[in-house]
Formats: sequence, C-alpha cells, structure tokens
Amino acid sequence: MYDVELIELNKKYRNVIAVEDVSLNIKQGEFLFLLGPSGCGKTTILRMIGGMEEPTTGMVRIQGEDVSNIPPEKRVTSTVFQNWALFPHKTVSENVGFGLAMQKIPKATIKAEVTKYLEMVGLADLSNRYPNQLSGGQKQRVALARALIVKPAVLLLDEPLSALDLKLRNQMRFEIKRIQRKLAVTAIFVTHDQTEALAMADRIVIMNKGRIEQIGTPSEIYFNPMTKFVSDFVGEMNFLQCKLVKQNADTTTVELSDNCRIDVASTHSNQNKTQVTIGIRPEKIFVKREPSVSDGCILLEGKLEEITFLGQLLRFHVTFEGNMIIVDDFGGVNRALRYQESENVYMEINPKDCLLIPDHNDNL
Amino acid sequence: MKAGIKKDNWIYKLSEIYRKNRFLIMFMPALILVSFFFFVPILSLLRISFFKYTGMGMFEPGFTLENYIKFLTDPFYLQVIWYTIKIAFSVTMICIVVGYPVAYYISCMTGKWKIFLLLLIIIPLWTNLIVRIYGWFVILGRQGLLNSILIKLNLIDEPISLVFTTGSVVIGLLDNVFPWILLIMISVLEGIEWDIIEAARDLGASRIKSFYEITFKLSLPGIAVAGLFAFVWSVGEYAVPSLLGASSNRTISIEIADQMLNLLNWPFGASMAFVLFAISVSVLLINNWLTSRSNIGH
Repeated sequence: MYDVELIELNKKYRNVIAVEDVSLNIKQGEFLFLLGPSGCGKTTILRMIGGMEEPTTGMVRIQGEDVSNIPPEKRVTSTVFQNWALFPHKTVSENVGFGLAMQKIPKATIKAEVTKYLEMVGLADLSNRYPNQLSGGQKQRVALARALIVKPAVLLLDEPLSALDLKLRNQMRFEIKRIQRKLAVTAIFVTHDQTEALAMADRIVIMNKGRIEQIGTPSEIYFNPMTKFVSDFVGEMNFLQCKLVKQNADTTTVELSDNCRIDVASTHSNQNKTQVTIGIRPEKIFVKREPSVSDGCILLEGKLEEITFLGQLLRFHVTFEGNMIIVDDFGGVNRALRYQESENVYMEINPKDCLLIPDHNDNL
Repeated sequence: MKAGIKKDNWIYKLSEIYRKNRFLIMFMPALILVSFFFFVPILSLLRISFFKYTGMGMFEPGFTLENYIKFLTDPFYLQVIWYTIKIAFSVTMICIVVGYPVAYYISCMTGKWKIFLLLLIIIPLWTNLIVRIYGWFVILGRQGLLNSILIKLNLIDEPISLVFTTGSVVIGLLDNVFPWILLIMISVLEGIEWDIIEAARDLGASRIKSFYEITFKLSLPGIAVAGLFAFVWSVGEYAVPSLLGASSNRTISIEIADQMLNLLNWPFGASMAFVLFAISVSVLLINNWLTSRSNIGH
C-alpha cells in the first residue's frame, strides 16, 4: 500500500490552472521531490496534501484514506514552511512542543519529547530563546523539530532551504536526509533547486505548468530525460536540430551536419517527422585542437567564443553551425593548453552520449 | 586618513565634530521646536499649578499643594474625575470589543471590497469634528431621526431625551475614536503572517484554537496600544462632552476650560490638567507593565 496517493488532482484558481491531472503514488519511507520552476504547481500539490488547499477535482489519499475534505489539523501530515513560520511569541521549546500541546498531552511528557527532538536537531541549549534571537539555520532546525515531534506519517517540506546561504544549505541537506532516514518518515520536498533534488531524492517528480513531466530516480532523470523540458531544467543540455534519416526499432539515424550521420538510441517513435532534437550534456563533449578522433566517436569543428573559469571546471562556449554549444571541462588537461578565444577547435562526441529528445512525454 | 590632510586643519576638525555628533545635529531642529512649543509651556504651566490663587484672575508665585489637594479631595471634583475615567473606559472597551471582529474581518479580506470598507472608515475622518457632533443632534435630538423611528414603531409614546446624556457623550467619542482604533487594529492584524496560522492548523490546532493561540495572542500588544490610544484620547476630549454632554455631568476637560477661561483660576486649572496628564501616563505605564508581563512583544 502507498502512503500518499494523488488521483487525478486538479486545482484551478478562477481562470488559472495551477495543477492539472496529477496522479502520483508515494511509498512508505520514500523521500520524494517535487521539482520545477516557480509557478509550476509544486507548492500547490504540497498544500493539497497538507490540507491547506482543497483540490478542485481529484482525490488525495493518505495511508489509504481519502482526506480530500479533512482539515489540516486532522491529517497525519506536518509541514516545514518556506520561511519556517515559527510562532514569534513562543520560545523554541514552546514552538517545538506546540503540536503535542494541541493533543493535550501531559506537560512532563511534552517536555521530555521537546528535549529529545531539540537534541536530535542539535539545539538543546537554545530552548528558551525566541525565534527572533535565532539564526536562519537554527530557525530551520526548530521548524524541522516542530514538524517531526508530532510523528507525522508524511513530512511535507516547502522549499525549506531556499532562505539559507550555500554552505548552510549543503549542511542542512545532509542533516534533513539523515533524520528522514533515521525516522523512516515518508517525506515530500518541494524545491526549484535541481542540485538539492539530485542530491537528496529517492525519486524526483519534474513539474512544468501544473503537469508532471517525468517521474524517476535522480540518475534516470539526469541520464534519460523524457522531455525537452526535463533535459533542459535538470543540468545543462546542448540541443541540436538534426535531420531524421532513418528510424529503426532500437536506433535512429540522424544527420548532424553534412556527411556526419550518427545512430542514437530510439527512445520514442519519430515517424512522420523530418526534424528531431538531439541533446548532449556539456561534460560529455571534449574539446581538442587536433582533429584526432577516438574509436566510435565523431568530431565537430567549431569556433571557440568564450572560456569561463568556474572553479572546478572550465566552461567553453563553442559555435557550431549557428548553435552555441556549451562544453564543460572538468579534467584540467585543457587548461594547460591555454586555448585562445576565437580559435578553431574540434569537439569529440560519442554517439552513445547523444539523447533523442522527445517534445512530449508519451508515457504520462 | 588621506595624505595631504593635516589633522589640525580646521575643516578636518569641523568634519570630525559633525561626524561624531551627526545624529544629535540632525535631531536639533525637531528638538528646538519641541522644547519651545511643548516643554516650555508645559513646564511653566506645571509651575503655575503650584501657585496660590488670590482671586480675580490673579495668583502669586510660590509653592503650595492646595490646588491639587482641593481637586483630589473635594467630593464634587472626585466625582468629575470618576465620571471622566468611566466614560473613557467605556469608550475604550466598546472600541476594542466591537472593533476587533470588524478589524479581523477586514484584515482577512482582499481586493475591491477591502478598499471599499477602508474608505467607509476613512471618509468620516475627513469631516469636521463640530459638524459631526451636530450631526448627532439631527439623529438623537427630540425631533431627531431616532425618536421619530421609535415613535413610528410604537416603542415610545413621546420623544425621549437622547442628547445631553452620558450615552450621547459616549456615542460622540466613539464617532471620533473608533475609526482610528479600527485602522490601528487592522494594521496589527494584517501584520500577522498567514503561514503562521497555517502552521498552527497543520500542527493540530483547530480553527478556533489557532485563532486564540496565534492571531489573538499576537495581536494583544497592538490591541493594548489601540486601547491606550482610545483611552487617552477620550479622557482628554473637550469638544464632545461639552457639546453633547449634560451640564450636570462634567468631565475634567470641561472643568479645566471653565476654571481657566471663565473663572480665570489658572493655578487650579493647571493642577487639574496635570492630574489628567498623570492619569494618562499611569494608564500608559500599566499598559506597558501588563504587556511585558504577559510575555508578549517578542
């Protein structure tokens, strides 16, 4: 049985469709990410699971029970809000103990539980502070402890790390994941940050304009994007328009440029089309000066427009037949070669790294 | 320090003085204005309140507490003080009890209707106070709207007197104070973030419980300020009680005006003014004490 089931969920605000036909099943203990640009409906889905928002049509089931018309206080979900939404007039321990106090649990029990959860998030010595006396990271931990203390079946996290700086965000990612594993709680995490999703998720749901684009594990999403949107949104992707030459059962032959034909894996049918889109990740292209080519690879000639130093990598912008192609070089070998801007270079590509990008996801 | 500028250069010295005292310097114009037009008159009035009245608008400098003793012991004046406080307290309570739900409702609204309701609150404030007070005569007078309605409905046989009563004073004061109190309370309630209430609901608080735990508790300091505002205003108001009140029910302000303008007993008038001032200040202090004690304001 699934912990959370969304069945043909729709949400309309007047004329705006926020969520359209979303169906999704989430297993017990799973860490699921809703990833998408702002306004894609991911937060609305989370709010419908939490009961802050009612679906226009469709059903939300939690542990098999239809909760569509049940108010948030009666649901077994609890939420970590985007700006943490701590109660400013209550101390850290009152904030954390709030959920238990609402259940009329004896004070001594609450006190013990609050201590336990504050220790878990590493804030035991700040129990008498007020929220405005805490740093962003500490507020984040209070919000997490406050949501977890009621032992929710489903933990909902609405961009909880977006207000933290990069270092702290990385640290909290690790910590949230550790706690989620330890408590084996089903968690749904909303974010627009793909790195966050790739780093923490068991499964990622990519959303766009209120619809699901793709559901999959981080590596499935990254290596086998099913739509152009997914491939563009998660990681960097170079797109090349190619002529379709021949479509076979498991390979498709395309023409990258004159006399340069490659076979790529067929992921979907492209019948009745003359043009298809090929995608290739920047780190899968190798820039060279000499036109030497490895086995099974092809070589494209382009003009180096710009080199950007990004710390762990060098990013090249190369123009090839009117397309701007991004190449990421993590190796550092090329750094020694001291490329000059506006010189001619060769890009080595292995056809196996090329993806045939569909315009739509036919599976959803 | 840049090269070429000597430390003993007078421009450098002047700029140092400015840099170190710039807040004081910026504060100066306001300070001078307030000192001359507020503190000086108030303090000279305070001095006068200790002078001895010698009759016929004359008083001799000195130090006597007799004005204060007279005001605070004479049963007639004690009754005046009590009546003033009673009226101000009623106005405050009505403002808060009636105003809170209205303010809550408006603060939850959005869009056109909210602007419309806010305008309904603000527009009366554009009307002159005296005009509004006389407006109440049209409604409450013996030939007034309310009396004719009550007669039409056969609830009374003949006109009853509704003006020149404690009730009409309270109504007049409410007319003055209530819009402001509403505006204060609306802004207080609007300042409470919606996601905090959602967080409470999410953690198992019912609608009513989350209202009490979050909205109500968070709005208390603001409500206290609104109440303070209503009380201080009502306790010192002159025009409303003197025009709408009965001649037998006098407030401190009326007494002060009477002593100073008609009887020319400035020392006594001044001492009453300072008792009124002391009442306002003590209410302010009690308010602060209650607010800080109940752990609000964080």
